[in-house]
Amino acid sequence: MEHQTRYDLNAAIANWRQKLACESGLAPEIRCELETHLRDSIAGFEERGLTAEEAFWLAGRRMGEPGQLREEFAKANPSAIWRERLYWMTLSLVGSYLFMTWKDLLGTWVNPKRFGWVEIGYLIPIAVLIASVVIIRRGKIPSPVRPGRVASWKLLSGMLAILIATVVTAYYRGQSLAEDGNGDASLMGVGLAIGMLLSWLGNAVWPTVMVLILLFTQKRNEKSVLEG
Amino acid sequence: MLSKDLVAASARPLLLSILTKGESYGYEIIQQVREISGGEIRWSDGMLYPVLHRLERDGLISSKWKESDVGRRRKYYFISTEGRNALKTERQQWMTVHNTLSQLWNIKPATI
Repeated sequence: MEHQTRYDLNAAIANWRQKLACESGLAPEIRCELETHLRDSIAGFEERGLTAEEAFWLAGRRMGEPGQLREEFAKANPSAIWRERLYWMTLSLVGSYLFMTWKDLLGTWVNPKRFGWVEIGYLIPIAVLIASVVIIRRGKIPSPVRPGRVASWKLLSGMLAILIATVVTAYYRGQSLAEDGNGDASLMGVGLAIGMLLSWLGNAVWPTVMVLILLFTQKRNEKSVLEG
Repeated sequence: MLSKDLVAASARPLLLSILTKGESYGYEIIQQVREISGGEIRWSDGMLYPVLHRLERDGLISSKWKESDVGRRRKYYFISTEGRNALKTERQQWMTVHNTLSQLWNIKPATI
């Protein structure tokens, strides 16, 4: 019986990959490139007679800590970080919009006297939020929505579209409520639209403040060791 | 060993010069630089990629994913025409520094 434990190189690399995935600024493509480099480097050391464990340790050291790597990439491409912040800001706005609009609509469309449906509406965005956090922490963002692939102008037009959709939805919802006999149709429509717009803007305030704080506290004039 | 500042300043012409000899990928580039410089220029592995990506964004090099013979997906870098032109200018500047120092140190100047 063999008692000696063998060093599992693939598990070590998988662990390294996991750590790298937790760094938000590193796109999947960059991580893939770095992993290939790590594997090449390990193979090179093994050829020179090092054990798998030694080779992995040395290759990892030469590569640098994941946090350090993220900083270097950030210094070389500061605009990517802003795009990513704008991206998450838009996503949070989309989430808040869906939350505010559709939970109410669900409650209105489904028989309002039946208890339970509205609460399910509340649960959906929370479930989506938890799932997103888990997915992002694992570094698995679906390719069509990768931050690096979405241009700033698309994000901005997305925000504008949500804003318009909010107003329009609120307007028609107000009208349908009024038709049920609750008051003047056009007035209620306008009132709800304004109310919805204000609360939407209210939700947008915090992400905006956060981004502005980040903007003003950003470290400047940091030069990378190998910056061209 | 080179100073940090000199390593940073020479990274760009070194990368462009290596890529004029043909396509290459990160690991190979680092090995080449180490070999040619006789171990004097040592780049930290992780620091190379931000520079490569920056050169790519500036249009001086381009890249393509390819499958290697051992089945690993590698990103190969190529120099662009713009990159070659940038290297020409850079080369002149480095030669100016080189020749000036050579004269001051009474060494025979190199030709461009």
